[in-house]
Amino acid sequence: MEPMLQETAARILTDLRNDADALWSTLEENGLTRAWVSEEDGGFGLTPADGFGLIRLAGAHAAPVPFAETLVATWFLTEANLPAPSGQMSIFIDGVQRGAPFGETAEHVVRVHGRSVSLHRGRLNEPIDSVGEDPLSDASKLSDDIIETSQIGADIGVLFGALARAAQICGALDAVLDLTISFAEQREQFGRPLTKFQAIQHLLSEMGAEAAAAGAAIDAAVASVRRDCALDETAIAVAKHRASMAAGIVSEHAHQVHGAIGYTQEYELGRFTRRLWRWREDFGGETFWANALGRAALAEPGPLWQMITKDGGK
Amino acid sequence: MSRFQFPIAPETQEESALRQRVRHFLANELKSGGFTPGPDCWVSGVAPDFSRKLGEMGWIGMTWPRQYGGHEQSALHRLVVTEELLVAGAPVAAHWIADRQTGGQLLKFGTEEQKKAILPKMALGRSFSCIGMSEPEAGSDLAAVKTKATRTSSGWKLSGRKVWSTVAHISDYMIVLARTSPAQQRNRHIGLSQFLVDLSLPGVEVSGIRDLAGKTHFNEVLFDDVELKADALLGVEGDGWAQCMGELAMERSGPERFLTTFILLEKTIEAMRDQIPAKVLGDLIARLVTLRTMSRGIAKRIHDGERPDTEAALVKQLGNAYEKHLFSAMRDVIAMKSETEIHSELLSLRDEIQLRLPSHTLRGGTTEILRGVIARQLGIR
Repeated sequence: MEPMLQETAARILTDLRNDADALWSTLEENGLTRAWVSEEDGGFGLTPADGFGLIRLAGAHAAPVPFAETLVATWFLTEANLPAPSGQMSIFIDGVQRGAPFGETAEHVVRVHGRSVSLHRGRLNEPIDSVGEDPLSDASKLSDDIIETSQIGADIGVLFGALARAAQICGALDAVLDLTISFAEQREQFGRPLTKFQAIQHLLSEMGAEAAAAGAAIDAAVASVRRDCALDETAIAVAKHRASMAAGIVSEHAHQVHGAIGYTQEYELGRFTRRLWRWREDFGGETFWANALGRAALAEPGPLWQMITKDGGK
Repeated sequence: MSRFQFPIAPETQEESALRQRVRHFLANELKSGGFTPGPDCWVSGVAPDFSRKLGEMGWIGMTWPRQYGGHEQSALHRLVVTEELLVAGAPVAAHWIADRQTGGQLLKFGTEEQKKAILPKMALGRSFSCIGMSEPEAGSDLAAVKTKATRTSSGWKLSGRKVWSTVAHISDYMIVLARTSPAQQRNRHIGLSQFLVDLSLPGVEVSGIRDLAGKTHFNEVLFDDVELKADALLGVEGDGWAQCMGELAMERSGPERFLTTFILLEKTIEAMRDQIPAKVLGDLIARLVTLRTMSRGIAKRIHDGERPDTEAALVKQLGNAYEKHLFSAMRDVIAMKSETEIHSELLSLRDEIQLRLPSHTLRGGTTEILRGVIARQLGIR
């Protein structure tokens, strides 16, 4: 990603992390929420990879606004040749999600059903409970107030949503690792910092390994994304599987290293782990995608290795 | 943002074509009885004749300069070949260390004469070599090596004992890590040097050690005042530790850290396709695809002249864990039927892998050592 853009986004996400309204309006004023919209339509026309870089950054800061959702919504709209409105948007992949994230504040909801994309007027006021930190609204209450509707060339709803969540997870994994390392460096027990205990070093190194694996899987998947094109299902399934798996392990170890303080609402670890637990379920967790990958492999005759290395491997 | 870098390096058409050539070669060899597939073949599949055939195909020393018998191809080309060989279970142990490690060390630290004399033979699969690092009292704590080299009027005198040296019994050379000046308390890594030792010299005694599975592929090598010429010193006196560590990225990042048990997955699918739960298979696929992405990223970085040591440690750690997971998952699948209903070859394969599995998380750096390497990179050690 362009360093300037990355720096601007990181600064906004850091400075305004505790003020959702100011955070949203500043992201919007800086044009970041329209990063994927073409320049003619008032956006930045960013590459797929740069947009996912922003989504990953949003995850790394546990941004309490629908930044990722809005970016994804603009992707669906532009793929369907529909103009993207300004303001907060939520997404609803029909048949997959129960809840629309940030439905209460989103002015519009982009609904994807197979290849059909429709832009609905928003504000879904019936909240549903969730393990996550961000509000979720009952998506079945979506209004029939459709502003526009159109088609995309391929059924990309779940895959694109899964890749976005995987990107957020990767960002959050890096953040949780940083947070846990600095906590372990400062916290002393038995007269020495936690980092001096080999048992703690091993937990942290396993967290590092998981974050690295998830990062590599998602980089490979993001590199395969093209506009006006079907998505690479294998690469995205692998990325969401690996990211969701890492989310579980990293959260568990992070809480173990932090001890009781990490189990309070005041301390910031929970802002990340609660989101990780939500995001790993969204658009299919590791078991869902393992099933999909396994079924696809079993349906193909011949050696598995040939499938894995087909077209240069995915 | 991320602490670890794995650049994405999609397979090129040229690499895919190479993959097909290797596959074709292996299929023909298999048909003509050129080899019997086996697990963990880079350690236990010792077949000098087969290595010679690979040498003739140009698949040893692929990345080395042409002037030394190499083929000047990228680390990613080499990776494609090693993947195919491992997946086929081909007997590649004889030349594996020469190709992976010794060649690179000689290119960096050998004299012109040594490079000209040794590398072309190695690239043809006609000369093999082994690693001389571990000792009875120096395993994970490698800096504790006691093997000693002292200066003589004509060169060096080497004495000591190395263990776990895979394929030493068929090797012409060993790269020995030895102490050339006493260990200092503050930094034990100082005073170690590497030597290129001709194993046919008087005073060298190689004896096989049987492994848990009953196979003899690793050895104990005794050096009883072995007289070495001055040029046996590899690189700089006292830099042995750094020179050794310089090869770790190659040693730890390759597909031999995650593909040596793949044959069990393939054979189980072949025999029990209807019994394998999709979720179990898919989980293995996702983890394997990720490991391949990481391994390719490291190969690219090595090719670009970088030293991604920690990333390599990550691949080895995750790869080892993956192989143990694969074994346990396939063991579960096989257990869905009675042993009497399963082909005995599959049961033998399962059992052979069980007997090899404990070594995976020991050789080339134990899991605990690797965690330490990663922890150091995280800045907490």
